[in-house]
Amino acid sequence: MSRRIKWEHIVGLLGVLGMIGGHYAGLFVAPPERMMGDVGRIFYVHVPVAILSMLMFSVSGLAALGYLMTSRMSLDWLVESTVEVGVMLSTLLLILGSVWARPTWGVWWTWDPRLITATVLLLTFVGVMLLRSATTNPEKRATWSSVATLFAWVNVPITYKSVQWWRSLHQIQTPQDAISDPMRIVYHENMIAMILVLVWFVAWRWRIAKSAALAEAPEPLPEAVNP
Amino acid sequence: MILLAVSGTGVIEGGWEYIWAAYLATWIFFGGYAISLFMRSS
Repeated sequence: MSRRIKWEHIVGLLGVLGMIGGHYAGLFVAPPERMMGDVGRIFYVHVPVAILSMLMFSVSGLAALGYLMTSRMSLDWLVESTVEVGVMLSTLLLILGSVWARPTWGVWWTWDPRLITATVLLLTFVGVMLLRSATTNPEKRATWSSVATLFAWVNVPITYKSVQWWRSLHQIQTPQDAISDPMRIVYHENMIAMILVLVWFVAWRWRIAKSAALAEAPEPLPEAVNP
Repeated sequence: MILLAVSGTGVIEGGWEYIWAAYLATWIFFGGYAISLFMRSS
């Protein structure tokens, strides 16, 4: 076994250090939001998680499309890893949204179109994970889950546009120029740090998927010995 | 919101317990997921 430190762990370390700094800035350095006061500091964790969960599922969709076009198993491992990380992020997103909703909307949950579409998005990708776990044949698992991933991905643009199509309680996307410089710097720092951590997670999970696939592959036939 | 604007500044005050909960949840999820990856890869 190689003792060399894998590149993703260095990226992960940078990401974790960035998150420590970004969260410190979000909690103690950034100014309070104009209307939400200090509660607006949840912005620095909620918004990166929201954007990156949709981005993660979009990578899953691209990898699934790539697998269906090329049958490369490395792309199936990417589907497996990004779907799992995306589900983790999406679950966290709903919890963060609920924690933010309580002091700002007065409720932990409401049947707002954004909340509903985000929940449906999460559940469809949980379905992809269940489908993968229920299928033992690697080729069928890769093909079926790629098709299911593409169907599940349709919810990404619906979730993104839901705040514009059905204007309700959840605010629409905030334009970058509507955020003051001190807030934007802290937001970008948190976004970059979280991207690094997620690259770490996906690369690490990809290696686990690869190892599992190699372990379940049939033993190669012994090579013929030349007389 | 109208009532808030009339009766005060309209700015939400306090709420640090929610802020700490949000940041803590993020670390629990990320830390927990990193531990799960470590357990599965070792």
